Amino acid sequence: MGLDSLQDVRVLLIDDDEDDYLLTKKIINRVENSPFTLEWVDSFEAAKEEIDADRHDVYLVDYRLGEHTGLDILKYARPHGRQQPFILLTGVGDSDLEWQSLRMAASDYLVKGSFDSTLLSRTIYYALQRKYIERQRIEHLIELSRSKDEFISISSHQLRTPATAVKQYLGMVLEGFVGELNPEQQALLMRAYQSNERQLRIVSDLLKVAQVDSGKMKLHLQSTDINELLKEVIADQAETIRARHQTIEFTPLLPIQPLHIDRDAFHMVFENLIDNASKYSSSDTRINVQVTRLKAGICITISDEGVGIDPNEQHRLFEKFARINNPLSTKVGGTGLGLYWAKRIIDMHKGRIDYKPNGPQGSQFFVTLPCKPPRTVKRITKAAKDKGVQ
Amino acid sequence: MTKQPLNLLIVEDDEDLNKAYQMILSSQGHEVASVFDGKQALEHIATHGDPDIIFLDLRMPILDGIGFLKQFDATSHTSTIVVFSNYDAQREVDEAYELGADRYVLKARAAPKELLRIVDDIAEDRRVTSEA
Repeated sequence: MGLDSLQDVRVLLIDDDEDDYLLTKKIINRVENSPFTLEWVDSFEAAKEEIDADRHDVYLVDYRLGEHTGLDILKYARPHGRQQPFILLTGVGDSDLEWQSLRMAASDYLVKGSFDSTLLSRTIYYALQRKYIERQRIEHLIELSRSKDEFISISSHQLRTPATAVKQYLGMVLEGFVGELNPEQQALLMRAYQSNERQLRIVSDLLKVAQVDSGKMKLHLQSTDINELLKEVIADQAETIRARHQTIEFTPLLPIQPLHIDRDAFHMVFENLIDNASKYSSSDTRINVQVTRLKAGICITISDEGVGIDPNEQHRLFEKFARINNPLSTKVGGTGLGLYWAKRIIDMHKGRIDYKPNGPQGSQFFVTLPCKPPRTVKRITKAAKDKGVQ
Repeated sequence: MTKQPLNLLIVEDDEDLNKAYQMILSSQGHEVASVFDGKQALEHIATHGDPDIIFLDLRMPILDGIGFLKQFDATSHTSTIVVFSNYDAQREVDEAYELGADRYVLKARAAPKELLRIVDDIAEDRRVTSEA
């Protein structure tokens, strides 16, 4: 609503006292060239219906509403996405109300019996104006964030294609397409290949995060045997783990309990967690992956005997671009996006991820997933992709 | 057993990648043709007939991979279609499968030897199918 042309403002009074309604109506009618239309409900239940219907521009809410209070109305309205101003009408004795109502994001308050038509219309006007400015600011921030996501997405796409070409050309040389290399040449080119792989991983992480942050990530839910999925991820990483002289043990959940999850996304989530467990551990250490049953879901625990995480840094673990300093962080590299992305994917499945130290040394990550499919996402069946090369 | 050379078609708009795929795939004696978009691919197939394998990029100018598959009608052709994909192209991969694609390759992951392994796998599948 533009405020220069304030007109047709629909005001809902939520008040269980008809006399108060009549009085407020009288006050509103006294406003010169009044743009206000006043409607009235007298109970918490009726107010909820009107809030659901979302037909009003401003709400005037009596603090005392039978067994409820005006703050209950605010508590109901805000999670339901109502951003219109709520102005609390209070009695003289409601002393700590100002603090409470502001805390609950009421726009303002008026003390009953002490406001006239000028104060009422001014309060409504300024409440609407503040909301208008706030909405504009939010829209601007959303637009900025969208531009940022788009920028990251486009630039990452542009970076990825040449990096993929570098991978193929270096790959050809390393695989002997143009003749044998001497050990020094092989070693140098291998370093170049590994750097390029890192670059591709960074670009891919940036794209994955941009996709999740922009809300474009669609889940492809399918009934998934979590034991099989974890076995697959472990098998994919077995060679690397062996090469680091580490061992990995897997304890599956029996009997099998299928989960409705995005299989491909969780393949990457577990890949990331197990890869971290290995990368941040020295040789001769053990990684454990275990699936256990909970009341309403299952828990996948990935524990290692690695460098662990400084207690002062643990709160930043799932933040975007969080690089946690430890004795291996420089060597390992990484973008600080993997755990952030994993958490976002787990959140989208109504699950959670938690961290705990693994005794005196090492880390434990717990991924908890509900057995019921998340309700907010559509289940999409798709053609079998068992022949995909990842 | 000597390998039977196959006819391969690469559909990839990036010149460097297109060239790299040509070099990799032709290293094993296969006949490799390459084009830069879906429209050129349709024209190539109309002139030269069905290749054994089509390596198809999804995001291309003029006619992208999905557009190509819609016009190509995989059911009336004998080619095996391998889609080049990326992590963020899951939706397009799903659509490509519905339109007749047989496999997908994550571009940023597949090294030269993996591409050659795919060709060998497909060659084996086609040999078994043709003998059956």
